[in-house]
Amino acid sequence: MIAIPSPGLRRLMRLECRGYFRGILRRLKTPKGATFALLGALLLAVWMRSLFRSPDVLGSGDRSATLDALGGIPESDLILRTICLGVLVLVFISGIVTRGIHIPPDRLERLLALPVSRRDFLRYRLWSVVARTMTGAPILAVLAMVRTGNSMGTLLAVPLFLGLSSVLGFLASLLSAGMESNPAFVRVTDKLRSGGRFLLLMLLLLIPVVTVGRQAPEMLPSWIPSFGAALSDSFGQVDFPALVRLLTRPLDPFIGLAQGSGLTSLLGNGSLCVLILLSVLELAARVPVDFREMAIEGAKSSALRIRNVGSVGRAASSGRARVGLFGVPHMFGRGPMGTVAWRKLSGIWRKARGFLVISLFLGCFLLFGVRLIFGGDLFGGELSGQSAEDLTDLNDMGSAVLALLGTLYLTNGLRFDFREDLAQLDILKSWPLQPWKMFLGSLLPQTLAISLVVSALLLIWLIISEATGLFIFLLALGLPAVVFAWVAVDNIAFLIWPVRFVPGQAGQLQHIGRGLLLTFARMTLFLVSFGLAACFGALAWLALIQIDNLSPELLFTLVALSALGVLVAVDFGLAVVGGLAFARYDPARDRV
Amino acid sequence: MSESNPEGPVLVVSDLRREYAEKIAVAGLSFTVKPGEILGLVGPNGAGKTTTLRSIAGILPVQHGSITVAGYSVTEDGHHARRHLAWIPDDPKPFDSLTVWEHLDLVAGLFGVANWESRAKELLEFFSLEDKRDALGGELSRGMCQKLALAMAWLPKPKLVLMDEPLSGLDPRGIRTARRAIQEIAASGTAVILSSHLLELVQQLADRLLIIDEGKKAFEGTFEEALAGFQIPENSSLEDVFFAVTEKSREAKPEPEA
Repeated sequence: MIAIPSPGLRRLMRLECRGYFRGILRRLKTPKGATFALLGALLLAVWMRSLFRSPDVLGSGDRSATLDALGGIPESDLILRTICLGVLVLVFISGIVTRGIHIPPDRLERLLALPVSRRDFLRYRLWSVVARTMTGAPILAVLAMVRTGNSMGTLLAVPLFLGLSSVLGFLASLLSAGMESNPAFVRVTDKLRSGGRFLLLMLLLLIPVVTVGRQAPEMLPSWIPSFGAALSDSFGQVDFPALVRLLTRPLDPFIGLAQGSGLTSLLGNGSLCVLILLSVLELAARVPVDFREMAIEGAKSSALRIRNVGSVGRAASSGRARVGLFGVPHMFGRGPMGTVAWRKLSGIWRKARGFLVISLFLGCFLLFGVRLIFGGDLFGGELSGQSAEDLTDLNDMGSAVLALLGTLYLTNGLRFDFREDLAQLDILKSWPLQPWKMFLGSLLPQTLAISLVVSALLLIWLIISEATGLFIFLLALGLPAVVFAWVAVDNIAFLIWPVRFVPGQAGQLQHIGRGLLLTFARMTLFLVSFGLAACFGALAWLALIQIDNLSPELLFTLVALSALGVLVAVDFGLAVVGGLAFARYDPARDRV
Repeated sequence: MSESNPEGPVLVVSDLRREYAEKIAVAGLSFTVKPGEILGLVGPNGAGKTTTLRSIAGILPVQHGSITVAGYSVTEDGHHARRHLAWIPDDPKPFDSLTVWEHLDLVAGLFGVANWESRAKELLEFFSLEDKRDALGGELSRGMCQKLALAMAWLPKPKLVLMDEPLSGLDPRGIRTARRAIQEIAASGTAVILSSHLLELVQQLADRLLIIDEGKKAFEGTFEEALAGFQIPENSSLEDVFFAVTEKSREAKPEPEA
């Protein structure tokens, strides 16, 4: 059959598959591996059980319920189509960003030197990608099966759709690699980049416009609010359900297979799905793009990315650093600890400034959205039934949620900590400074960068909402201490147990078990740190309410500051513990 | 603890032991290195060379025994001891977000080197790195990384340099430059421990040899002492000495009981 690779490559695939399972079995034979696998399996079982017992979102009641407002399309069908469309969009974006085909760097040269045709080689890579996708498909299939309530069809449709999406992603990646050398394409991408910058500028301009609109609406030209209203009107008139249906029409057999019941649907739609998958696969194998150079180039950057991913975070795993026009200043002094912090700051500045700007950009969108939805309109109008006091409380709560979400998002995405240095920890350990200073210096820039971005978002929130200034000020003041506690706890756990897991690596089950234990340890440490500060804050409050003539604002400030003082002391304690963990780290034994 | 007598040994390793669950990496190793001396550390793979060097550099905690560098105990006064030594690993990975010049700036800050710029310029010139001054660490070839590691080690003028396979990845010109650099730094009074499988290079550079096998000292002394001690012909190379010493050390090991 045309879509199947030649016997030699089929044999290679068989051996790779056997090697994968042999690796899993070998890990299960060690006590540690078996324990983690057991924990992982338990966690999966608990999750699956909860899925089967959860309220059947689409399955409950009348599954064929039709929402007239959605253009007569059954709700379950629309949701399925939207999910499929979302998956395809993500896959396409990822394919375009990846450019070229990924070949494992350790096998790259041997594979490219094989005496096989380009098409045959592509078929082999395509099947490898499909097989890798299929390993995670059963879990998703069960998840989808619970939601649709149709067992057999969904169990078949999900893996087939995932296989198709991985092939389409591969195709997008291959085509974008082919276009890379096309000047017209380069011009378009340049224009898109300029468009992005323009959007960011417009968003930044929106802040003063909204501020003026709220303080002195008469100063704004009348067309601005009218334009906003017209925009939202036209947005509301788009028939999204019909659009989704139209865009997902080629996926009808997959949707039909997932929803249909009976042997006819199973056989008819099933064979159609297989045919589509094989045809797209063969089409991708026949794309006339010379991928070799791109694969070699890609292998280098992906090796770096794989080395960092899951351990460093999105920003640092983006691979390449860029030297800016100016050097990074020694903001933390020229002593040993200041120099360590300066090195980390250089990393953030050169590798993650794009990430920080995008975070700020996304944060602004989120802020305006939240303000529009929950806090009346941007120009100060209130929702019906809301008093000004209610609105302030709601907005204060919004500030806290914003600080929490921003911190969680950025600590996950911006990891310029010890994970990034795993390959160089022996060099770091030979530097002449005390371990706690090394720990503190390494985490300080990341803490400040995250605090700065979240504080900027809080400031914008203060401008566009009715939140209390004092509350936001105290929140921003406490941010570095909270962020440091979170990052320090995370790094202590990592230095004691420096395990890094790369997606696609063998030992998924063990990793789930290990990850569970680590998360538990991190959360316990963080809650103890935060709990201590909260306890002292409560004690301060109990003591301070005895004093007469203390305004609520002053009381609140004093309580917050005393809790913050304790948190700063806890942070220093964490730095000392982190230093001990760093000193204990053994590059020979702990290296993964 | 105060600094040592300038005439005394810069490094004193006494009864160093390092055990892992499955093996003994270093088993009671003792030796000293004097200022300006180049000690060639030689041994088969897994003999414990890197573990010994890492213990001296404070990278591995000392489980048993003691190490002093310039009079400072590595265990009790680690960061003071490390101020006097430079560590060059076998695969020196530079930081990919710093330029070559900034790597030297980093070392100057860490070791408190005053007026470092002029010396940094000299080192860049010496190691032919001037045109890579503004290149990021991630853009350097393996040979360039090695040269940068040497320049970084040389900048603070340490009392002891620990080199683990320092010349792998260098081209012939680079090897010649590095060899000259090692000789020059030793002539200025810095002690060097050179661990390498390039026995010819060790023979050319080392004043004294320390051959270890399975974590134990198999021989310590000069090349000539080794020739005489093991009754090896005079025109033999270090390779002959190496095989003679390690084979003898293995013969001396008691056979495991059946």
